[in-house]
This record gives sequence, C-alpha cells and structure tokens, in this order.
Amino acid sequence: MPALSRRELLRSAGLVVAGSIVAACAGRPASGGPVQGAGGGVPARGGVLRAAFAGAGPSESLNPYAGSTPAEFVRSRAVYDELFRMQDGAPAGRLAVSAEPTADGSSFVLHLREGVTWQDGSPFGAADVAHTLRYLTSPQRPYPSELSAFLDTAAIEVLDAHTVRVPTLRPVGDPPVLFAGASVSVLKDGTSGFEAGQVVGTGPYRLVAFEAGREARLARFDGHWDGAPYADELVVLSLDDPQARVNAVRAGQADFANDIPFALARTGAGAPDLEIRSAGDAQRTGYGFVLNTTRIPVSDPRVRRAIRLAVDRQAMVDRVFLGYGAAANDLYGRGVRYFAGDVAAPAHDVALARTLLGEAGATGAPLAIRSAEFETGLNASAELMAESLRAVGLDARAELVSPAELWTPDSLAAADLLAFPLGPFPLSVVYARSAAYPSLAFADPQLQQAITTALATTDDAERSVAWRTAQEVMADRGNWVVWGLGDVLSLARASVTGIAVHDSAKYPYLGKAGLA
Amino acid sequence: MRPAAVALVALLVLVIVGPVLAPYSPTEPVGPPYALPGEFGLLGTDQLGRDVLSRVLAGGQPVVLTGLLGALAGSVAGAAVGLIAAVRGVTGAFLMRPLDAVAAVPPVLVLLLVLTAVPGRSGIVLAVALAGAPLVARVTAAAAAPVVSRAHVEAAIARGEGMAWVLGREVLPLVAGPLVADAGVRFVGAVYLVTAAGFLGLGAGAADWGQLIVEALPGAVLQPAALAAPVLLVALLAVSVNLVADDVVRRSRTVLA
Repeated sequence: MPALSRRELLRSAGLVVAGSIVAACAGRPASGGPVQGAGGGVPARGGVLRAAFAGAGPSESLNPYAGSTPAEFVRSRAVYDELFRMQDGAPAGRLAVSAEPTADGSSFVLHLREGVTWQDGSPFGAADVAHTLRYLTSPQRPYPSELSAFLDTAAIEVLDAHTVRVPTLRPVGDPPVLFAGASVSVLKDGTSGFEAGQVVGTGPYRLVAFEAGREARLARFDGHWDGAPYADELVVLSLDDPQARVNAVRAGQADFANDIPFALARTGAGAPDLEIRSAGDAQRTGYGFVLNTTRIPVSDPRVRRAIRLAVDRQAMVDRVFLGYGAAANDLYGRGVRYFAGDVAAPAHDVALARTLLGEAGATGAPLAIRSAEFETGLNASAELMAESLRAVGLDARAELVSPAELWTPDSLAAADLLAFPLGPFPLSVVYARSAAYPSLAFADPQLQQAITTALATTDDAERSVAWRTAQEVMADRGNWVVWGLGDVLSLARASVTGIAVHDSAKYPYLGKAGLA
Repeated sequence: MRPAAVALVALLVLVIVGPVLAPYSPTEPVGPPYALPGEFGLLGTDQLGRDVLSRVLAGGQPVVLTGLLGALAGSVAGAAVGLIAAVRGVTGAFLMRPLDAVAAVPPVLVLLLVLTAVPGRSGIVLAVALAGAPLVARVTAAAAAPVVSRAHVEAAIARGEGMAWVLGREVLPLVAGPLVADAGVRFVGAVYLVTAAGFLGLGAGAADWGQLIVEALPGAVLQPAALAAPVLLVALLAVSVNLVADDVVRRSRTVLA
C-alpha cells in the first residue's frame, strides 16, 4: 500500500513545491551527470548507514522467501548468506564452495564452507542447507521457487557435516549458476517462523528491530565468516515513492536512496555533499512487459507480434529514461553469458500491427496492463504502452497498483500485460523465473526443449547452442516485449561507499558498505 | 458581480468545457518530456511528453465534480442533523455525539480509511461527505439555536405542525444564508481532499489536478509550469469560492438581523 510513504511525501510536499518553484525561478541548474560506480574510498569502521528502498508496506515479511521488493531483498541479503551469488557475471561461492554435478546431471554434491557460525553462535552445516532446500521447495511457500522444478528435496542426503548430495528432478548441468540466480538465503535447521526475535542468519548483520513497511534496524555481526562489516548499524528504510526516497536523503533522514527518478539525474543532486550515481552500462535493467498467453487475445501469436510492432522503443527510452538508457531487442538478460545481443529489435510499424490485429479479430479488444512502481519508470512505461496500443486499435488501459498487490496470483492472472523489469541475471534465471508463474510462462515445445537442454547439459558448446535456440524462439513468437535498458540511478551522500552489486543493482549487497 | 464571483464562474466554465477545448488527448505524448512552455504547447509537456495544458483542462472535472458531490452530500446530511439537534434537545445530543467523534479524525485519515473499504470515485465522495458533515451539523445547530426559540417557531409547534414542516418552513429560511456560505467552505475542503486523494495515488480513473501535482514534483525544476498550473488552479478555485462564500455570509447577516 503506497499510502504510508506517500504520506511522508505529503508532509514534505509543501516545502518541495515552494523550493522547486524558487529554484526554477533562479534558473535551471547545470546537470553534472551521474557519477559511475558505488562510491570511492574504503569505508571506516563504525557509524550508522541508512538506505532507502521501495518496500511492500504492511505486508512486508521477515521470511526471506516471501519478499518481492527491493527493501526486503536488501534486508534479507544482509541478514542471511546465500549458497552462491553472481559476481561479475559468474557464480561465486558463499556458504557453498563448490557444486559438482554427475555427468548425466541426475544429482550434484554441494561442498559447504567450514568455520561459519550462525548469529546465535551455533555452527553452520549440512543440516541447515538440507532444511533450507526443503523449505524452499515446500508447497506452503508463499511464492513458488524456480528450484522446485529441479531439486528432489525429499531425497537430499547429508554426507557429512559439510557435504550434501542433492538429487535432481530434471538434469542440472551447472548448479552454481542455478543457485546464484535463485538467490538461496540459507536458513538455520528447524527454522519455521520468522517473527522478530526468531530471525537468525549467518549474514554480516543481525536483525534487531523491524517495523513492516517502515524500517528494519540491523546491527553488525562481528563473527561473520567474511570478516566483520564496517557500519555499526544498518537501517533499511521502506519508501515506495521514488520522490520520497530522494527527499529522505535531501532532508538527512537517509544516506542512500536507490532507484531514484530519472528526472533527478537531469536536475542534479541538490546539495554539494550529495551525488547521483549510476550503476553503469553493464548493470542496466531490462524494462519490458510479459504477455499473459493464458488470456485472449494475447494467446494469439499475431496479436503478440502486433503488440511488439506497436511499440516505438526509442521514444519509450527517451520518455521513460530521459535518455539514461538504450533500446532493447525484446530479450531479457542482456550483459550475461549466452545472451543473443545480435537479435534485431522489431521495427515500429503501426500499419502492419493494425493489419495483424484485424486478421486476428482482436481490433478493439480490451487489454489490461498491470504495473506497480517498485522500480522507477514502470508506471510511466505502462501508461505509454497503453497509449501505443490504443494507437493500433486495442482498448488498452494501464492499471497501476501497489507493489504488494501486483504479485498476488489473482492480480497476475487478471493482467494481459505485466510490467516486468529484470537486471543482468543469468539466462537460466531469466527463463526459469518467469516460468515459475503460470501467467508469465510461455508454453512452447521448442522453447521448453531448448531450455531443458541448456539447463541439463554439462557441455558448454551444447549449452550455448541451446540458449541461442531459446532466444530465437522468444524473439520470433514469445511473450516478452523488452523495449529498453535503463540505468540504475541512486542518490547518495558522498561518504557512502562499498555498496556492492551482486545480482542486481536494484537491490545491492550492503554487507561491505559503510561511511568513508 | 464581484471579481471573485466572475473568476469562479470563469473557472467553472473552463472546467466544464475544458476537455473539449484541450488541443490534444490528455494521454497522448506530443513532444519530448519536460519541454518548457513554447514550442510544444502553451504550458509545455510533462514527464512523458504529454501536453500539460490538455492534462490540466481534462483534470479539472474529476476534482470539481467529485468535490461538489461530496460537499453537497455532506452539507445536506450535516444540515439535517444540525436542524434536528437544534429543535430536539436530547435526541439532538444523541445524534451529534457520533458526528463529533468523526470530526475529531483528520480528514485525510477519514479519506484513507474510507478508500480502503470503498475504493474508487464513490469512496472519495463518501469520504468528503463524512469529513464535512460533522462541522456542517455544528454550524447549523449553532445558527438554528437562536431561531428555534422565536415566537413564530413556537407558534408553529403549538399549532401541532410536523417536525419537517417546522424545520423546512420556519427555521431553514432563516439559517439558509450561513448554510450556503458554509457549503462554500465545505466545497473548498472537498477540493483539497479530492486533490489529496489524487496526490496520494488514490484517485479514481482519469488524472486529476492532485495527480498532476505529484507527477510533476520530480521534474519541477526542469518544467515548473507542469507543477505550477495545477497548483495555481487549485488555489484559484479555493480562493474564489471562499471569497464568494464570504460574500454570501455578509449578505445573509442583513437578512438575519
């Protein structure tokens, strides 16, 4: 529910209105352009780092597998460690050091890190990982995990204190990538509840206080296996509204605000000790829409093609990103291995789109485009998309909802198009994640075959060919319209440093962050 | 007519015929985002390159109509309770207490609560009515109190006239002036509340002035006109209605005296 953060916004709105008008009268500020990277310098020990992200309001949960918003991801990542994580495009071991698949991919052996302790002092081991994987794929989970389709968690074998054998349901050729992409936060054996006070992780910060939809306070865990973190305390603030996040930093209530409006990059940071940062070209997020092929008329491939032709990609980039981005070619996952960057973006062809819709008998059909502003620019893109689709004869309308509401199964099923951003995740994640939701999946035999092969094979050349096929199918008749790649912009106090990007710059890792 | 009344009438006409006068569709991009007034329209373009003038012209109706409906419903309900309270002491007190409790809740909170239960346009109207009615009831009861003890009212009661007749024929004409003036003030409050709903992202359907304000905030430095236009229109509407309401009070006092 956006009300809480918006109310904060309301409070500061008067000041901002007055301030903006005064500033406007004083002339337009020189735009310095965003600084690349995550801040220079080495963080000093101590201090409180307060960072603001979009959250899910009162429905926020301490369960790391229930969250769907940046504030929840950032908090979970600081409290829990993952088995593997993505770093510079490759999987890196965290609580697991290696995973060796058998030649046929029917199982793999996970070797776990030794000498890791939980925040309550008990040692970390194989039982914890077995418990986590079972919990992760259990049917009671609020969100389905893409791993459920791969791991036979009922048959997990604990070989010794730091070795686990995991049989698979479908062959898995590259388990580290699968785990890194799925972002598996390891839970302590026996964990079932996630009330404040029960939360124990192995991560660099301990949860000390939590108010859903407002803030989480995390204290430094000195016993972290990767070395004690820098800041004494980490405060993760939930502020849905991008402008409210900006105001929080400008007013001194936060040190870092992620995913800020693109307009801010043009107007400037607003104070000498603040800077606007861009996570850089490699971290650009693919902005697009997933078409719900379970609904009429989107189920018709001619309609999907018409929707693609209706989009003026460059105009969308200019309007939504204000130039801080580039046009995309309808495929998610740019910047990672096996991405088909040479597939051309469909042309903008209104006449052909109209013809195709006419042939499909879909002219004038109602079309709901669902979006929530959990990442900056999504709502704007949904409104522009609706306008583009109206121009080719579809009765499209943008339905803007709160982030928490967007991900409810009913809401997903009711959407014809869903605004969907994805950062540079491995292709196995890109394809498995959208397939985890029935309304986002694309049932196509050739695509399924290619994905299965790509995930199963241990042979790199074969995998490369399979991903190529999968992407060609998607570009030809798939259910994605990825129109642009947007920069991830943040507003930070100049002293904030060490904010690391693991799998997405939209929800960075704060375990090594601090104040210089 | 006084200048305030002229301004109000002009503004209302603009709001009513605005959507017809708009040069573009309010949702269609016509230029680059944040274009300053000039080449791309009289008021420039907004964050998506849509014509600000067209959006402002289209955004008036939801504010004014919803505000008017809400204020009217609140005023009628509040006036009815207030009149009954003035005539029937004990029953009146019984009716007023719950309303006083509502009056203690800030209007924006009433709005949020009601919209949680009844989302959409009807929810906003209900919230505006609910937020306004208690204060209307107080004003009405206060205005009617000296009137009910007058000889002609007591005579009517003595004749055995019904409650509705007494209130409608004997009391209401004498307190109508203040009530109309108060309705004006309620309307201003209603406009603020409807604008707030749009600002908080709780508005229903088409973009109203409140939503235009919140959308223009991030780019206010780049394109001040997109923010200034809806802000000034809300202010202009509020000020002119207030002045006209003041005028009504001034005239009605001479009737009461």
